[in-house]
Order: sequence, then structure tokens, then C-alpha cells
Amino acid sequence: MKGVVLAGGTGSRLRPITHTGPKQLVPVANKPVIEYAIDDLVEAGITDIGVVLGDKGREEIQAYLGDGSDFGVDITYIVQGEPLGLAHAVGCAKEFVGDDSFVVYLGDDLMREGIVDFVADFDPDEYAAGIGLQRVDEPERYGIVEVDGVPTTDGSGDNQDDEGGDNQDDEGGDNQDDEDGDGRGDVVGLVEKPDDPPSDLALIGIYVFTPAIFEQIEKLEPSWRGELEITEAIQGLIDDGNRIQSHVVHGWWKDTGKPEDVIHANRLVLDDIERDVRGTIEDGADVTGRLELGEGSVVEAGATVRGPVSVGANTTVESGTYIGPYTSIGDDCDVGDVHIESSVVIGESTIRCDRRIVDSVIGRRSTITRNTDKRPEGERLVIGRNSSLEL
Amino acid sequence: MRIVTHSCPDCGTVVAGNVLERERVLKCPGLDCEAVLRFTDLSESEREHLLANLERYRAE
Repeated sequence: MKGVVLAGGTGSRLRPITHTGPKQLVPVANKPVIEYAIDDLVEAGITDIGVVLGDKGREEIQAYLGDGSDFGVDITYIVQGEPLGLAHAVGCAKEFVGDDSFVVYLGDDLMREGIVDFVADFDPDEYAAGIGLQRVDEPERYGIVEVDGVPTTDGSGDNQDDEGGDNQDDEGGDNQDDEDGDGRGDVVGLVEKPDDPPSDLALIGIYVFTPAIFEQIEKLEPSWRGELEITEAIQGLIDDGNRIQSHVVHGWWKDTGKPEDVIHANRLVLDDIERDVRGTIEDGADVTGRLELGEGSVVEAGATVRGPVSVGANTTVESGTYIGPYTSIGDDCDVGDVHIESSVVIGESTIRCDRRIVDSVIGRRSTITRNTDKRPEGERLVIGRNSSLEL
Repeated sequence: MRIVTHSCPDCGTVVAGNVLERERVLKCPGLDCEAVLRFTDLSESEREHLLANLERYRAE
């Protein structure tokens, strides 16, 4: 089986962060989000991977992933160009996948439990495709499937917005009629953002296809938004009498399309980190909770860290600084005097000010310094397009 | 919708036909690949199809 990671898109909802780089390289707990997809594929035994690239951020993604050898995979790049929809992106992978079945993974998605079970469960002799699903609270906001023999809702409240990934502990609660609660009925219909949802089972951006999908993609016409919709291609498989396997994915999943999603995903991932200190914690530093501290980084005497916190390499946390839970600070940063928590600092930044920063995403090479000695008094800002500040 | 692609003969990078139509001639976007890819690398029928359906292969 092969893997296809979709890494196109404009990242418009993540501006201004994506003005200077693709959304798939935005770090969550100091690891670019696309690397989680690669890791999940490797864990599922898939090392032959096609990465579909758009016009935005193509070279940056190639520079990061290279030929894949640093990640234990063999990468073929597939240049889609214009963002003409998920089905177009998948269709561009036809030559790459050949006669194999293949997993399609959205490159800005995170899944706590990975895809091992999802891949292992798929039987290409029985099914033309398999779809990863999860129950959501507001199905009218999602692409929703109807699954044969599955109740419309189970009231479990599972969804990607659960704080701290509460659904990870919901063993067997996904499907009241299934023998094992894994939602293994056939998918019999799909509908995008329905007014009257047939179920609360939402598409989460993970699919496994046989090459039969390409015939359906060829039949598609652009939708009202000018894109080839993958849901329409899957519906075509159903209409032609093919079986579509459903698979309810346990554990949280998260699309990192917006700044608040990045902060939330960072929180979810940091919830699971282990202590890993490769840098230096000076005597007199106050560190409690789980801390990842990269090589060359220093937590100076007089600094306070309350984990879970991830600090990259070659970063200095100066005396008088407080770094609170669910914060990631990237490589090559200087952080001083500030109180910062529940935030993502991407890297190469200087933050040295007597302020409290919370629930924030700070882009690469940013500078935030104190203004107390400056006259006239006031906030001094250099802000790019699409920036958002609450002062 | 017909999806046309072309694989670089040197490195295997796949390029969508809409990209070749748009750029006409481009250095292969594969890593460290020096090959030059051209719209004319596509078959005549592929080129005719792309040119006859230009608006469908361009994002609004």
C-alpha cells in the first residue's frame, strides 16, 4: 500500500502565519504538522509516499521533507498547481499509485491514535474505499456519512473540539449496533454540511482507496466552488455498486487550519509528551511538570516553567520569565521577563517584555520588547496583513 | 474531469498538465533535478484537451 499526503491549499485561514510559509509546516509541539502525517503512515507500514503540492509553499515543503530518507520513507512529489479540489489532488497521484491501494492523508490533520487500525482493517477485495470517521456534536458543520445499520447518533459527544481529547477514553462508544463499536457498517451515502444530518459521523480527512476511485474522479465536474469534490467521487463509487468501508477513528483528531486550531492541537499533543531534557536547567530555575528542552537550550536560574511545555533547540529562557502550561517555544528564541502560556512561538523570535501573553501564535522572526522607557508612551506595532491583536 | 499528468523522465516527479499548460516550459520541480519539462511533452490529444478547457483548470 502507498500513501498520498495532500499538502496543497493556500492556508488563507492561518494568515498572517502562512504569508511566509505553508500551513503544513506550522509546528505543533515543535514539529511541523505534516511530519505527524508521515509518522502515522510509517507506523502503519507505509513508506512509499506521494506528497501532492500546490503553488503555495511547494519549495519549503520539499526543502523540509527532502527525499524522505530522514524520515524513513521514499517521497515522490506530485505538483498539482492550482487548488482544484481534493479529488483533483488525488487524481494527480494516479501515475504514482499505479495498481496499489493507497491511503490519502490531509497534510494539516493530526490524529492521536494514528492510522494503524484503519489501514489494517481495509480489505481491497471487499471494498473500493474506506473512510475515516468520527462522531461530532454539530454534524451540520461537516461532511457527514450515512452508514448502513448504524444509529443516527449515539450521544457520546465525541468530537474534535473536546478539550484535552476527551474522546480518547470513549472505548466502544462510537457505534451502538456494532459488535465492537468500531463503526464497521458500509457507507451508503455522503452529504456535505447537511441541514438535516443523516448521522453524526463526520469525514475527518483520512481515506484509503483502490484505483477504482480514479474512474470516478474522471467523471466529476467542478462543483459550485470550482473544485473536484472527493465526496462526489466516493458517492460515485457507491452509486456504481461498490462497497465503502466505514471506520470510526478513536482518539482526538484535529484540523490545524486556523490559529485557534494550532493552539488547541498544541495543547492536545503536549498533553502526551514525556520529559526529555537535552539542554540545561540551571540551579535556581523552577521547573515542574513535563518539559521537552532541546539541545543547546537553557532555562536560566530565576526562570519558572510549568509543564507540559516544549522548548526547541538553542533557545534561552531568561531569569524572571514564566512559561506556563501548553506552551511551545521554537528553536533559536530568546524569552525574557514575560509571562507566556497556552501559546505557540514558532521560532527565531525575541520576546522580552513585562507582559502576559496567552492563547497566542507568534510567527517566525518576531520581536516583542518592552516599551516602558520609550517616549511618547504607547504601543509600537509593525503588523502585517491579516494580523490580529488584542491589546 | 480528465486529469492530465506528466512524470519527469529523470526524477519521477509528477507535474499536472494544468501546470505545464500554464508555464509552458519549466525546470523540473523535483529536488535537485535539472530536467526541463515542456507543455509539448504531453500528447497532442492531452494538449488539445487542456487548451479547450482552460477555465476548468484554473482556480477562480
